[in-house]
Amino acid sequence: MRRTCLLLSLALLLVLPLAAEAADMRATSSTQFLWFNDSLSGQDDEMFAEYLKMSITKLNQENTITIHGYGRGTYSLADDAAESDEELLGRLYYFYLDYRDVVQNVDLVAGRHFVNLPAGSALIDGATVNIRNIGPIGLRLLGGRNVLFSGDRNEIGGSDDSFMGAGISTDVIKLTHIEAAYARKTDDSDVARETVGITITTYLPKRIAVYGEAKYDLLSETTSELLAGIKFSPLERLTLTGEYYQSYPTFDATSIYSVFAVNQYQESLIKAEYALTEDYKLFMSYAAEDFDDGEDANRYEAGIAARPIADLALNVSYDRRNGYGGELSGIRFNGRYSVTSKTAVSAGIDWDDFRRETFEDETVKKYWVGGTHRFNETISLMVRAEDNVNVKYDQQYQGVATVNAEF
Amino acid sequence: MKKQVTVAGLAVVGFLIIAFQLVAAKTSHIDYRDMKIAECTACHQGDGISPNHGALWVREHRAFAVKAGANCADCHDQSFCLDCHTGGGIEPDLTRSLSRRGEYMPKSHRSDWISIHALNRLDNLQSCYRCHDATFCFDCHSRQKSNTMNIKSHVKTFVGQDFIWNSEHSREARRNLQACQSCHPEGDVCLQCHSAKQAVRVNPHPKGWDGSKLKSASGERTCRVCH
Repeated sequence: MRRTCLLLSLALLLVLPLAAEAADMRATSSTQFLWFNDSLSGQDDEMFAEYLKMSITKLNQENTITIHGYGRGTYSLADDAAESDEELLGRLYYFYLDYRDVVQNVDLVAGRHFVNLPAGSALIDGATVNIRNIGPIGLRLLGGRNVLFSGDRNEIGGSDDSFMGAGISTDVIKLTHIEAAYARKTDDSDVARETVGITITTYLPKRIAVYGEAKYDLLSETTSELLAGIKFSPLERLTLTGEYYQSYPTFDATSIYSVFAVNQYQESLIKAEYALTEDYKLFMSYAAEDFDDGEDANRYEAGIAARPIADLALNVSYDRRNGYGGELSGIRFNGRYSVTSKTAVSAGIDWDDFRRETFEDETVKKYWVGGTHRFNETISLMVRAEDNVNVKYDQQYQGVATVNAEF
Repeated sequence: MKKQVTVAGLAVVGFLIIAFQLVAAKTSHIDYRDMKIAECTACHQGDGISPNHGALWVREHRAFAVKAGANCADCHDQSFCLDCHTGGGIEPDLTRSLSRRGEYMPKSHRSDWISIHALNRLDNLQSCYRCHDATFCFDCHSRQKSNTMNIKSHVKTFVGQDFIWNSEHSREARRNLQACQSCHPEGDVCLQCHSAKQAVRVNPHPKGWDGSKLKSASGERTCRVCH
């Protein structure tokens, strides 16, 4: 039944633009053929997918009403998909009406849409009311059915799974935003999460940004996440960042894991980004991780993005991790060359060497190559193929071919 | 007293008027959505604003994206967020690979992600749960034999000895309880020792435990598993 509803919604995405003759409609379609390997079962799989995104504007004279939709349908050619009656599946990512200034300074979003509060985020079938400029404050009220996509590509979650929340924000101090929020999630009618959160961002003189956020889990009475950061550009081409982050695992109240003792995780991070010229940019970062009980780890990352000639872009990065859990070091390299104004070729390598505490050394590699070609303003083509080499495969190919249309 | 109330009232009204002006002056970025990031940065740097959308922006964006009226929507549709967070694929991007289900993976899921995620997930476990719920992990882990994952407390040490159970499992669980949940979603293995109903009844609760709010929130259904 749910699959039927999803496919009907996707059909509606196709039909609705045709009905909105007077309105301005923009749509993007991506028709894809994918071939890949299920590393768990070892089975090769092939699939057709149709992604469709559209937005309709100018539905009224003031252009304050818009409709947005995005979904996909997939058809799997795998034998086990046919056996389990899961050849044809659909997923509706969002489909909502956005009505600005329903009354003065009040906006409404209704339908399936993504919501993001300092206390939590969700995809909901419901509504968001955004009240702007109540003097120095703004208010967000939202709620609806909590939409979850499960691992088997279907939508899960019943009508009793809900997400609701409220946020109060102010921009009263120049270049400073503060928002406090409350969110509540139910699981089969029982309260699974109740969280309050606060976020602050402020831009100070001399290119300094300070930001922070905190989440407090009301049911387990713990601070589940805390982040404080400062970003500073002492030179026009140099940006430095320092962050402190801590988290404390929390679980749904309906899970048995919510009653167990857990450790706090802490991370201190420094980052630097430097633009040598417009065409050569460097970055590096270091994080010290503390898992409590005397266990810790270090994480390093460095990279360069270069454009040695106008048509060629190269990216290379190296990262290394050692300490609790094991060691990992990896290199990523990719490049893109524009052959003509309409055609480009790309290629890349991911290489990782790692050793878990209880594993032998292992190396995994991914080589990929691809290209894009734009036929005209409307139609373009993209192809990507990759080969994976790891402990399970000496060779394992997968990829995607897409025809994209914008109209 | 009356004078003080009047002054205070006028101060509040004045504050609200100034505040209203400041709020109303917030800049929309819709007109700049087709500009290159370098052009945005050049303008913002000149105004003394710290730049963003740098090489490490994927890791940084959360704190800025969460705020009400964030400028993200001035340039990006929701599909831009959901293509990473819920496995969509309408934005053509050659640098993104496919998962074992043919879904697009974010760029952070590099090389053979299934192999290296056991290490990478340790770097801030919360980041996994921003896109995946616990059932996502169970979908694969339920089909894996525990000895293929070589978890320290699940490894046999010597012939005749079972596991490094007492010394390791409690520390592993406290640091990384989500990993236990990914294979044992109902905690059945844990309850063999930690239930108040049976066996050795080892108390799993943290020090100073007060579960009254969890109890009422779950309609006592979580508590009744053990009590």
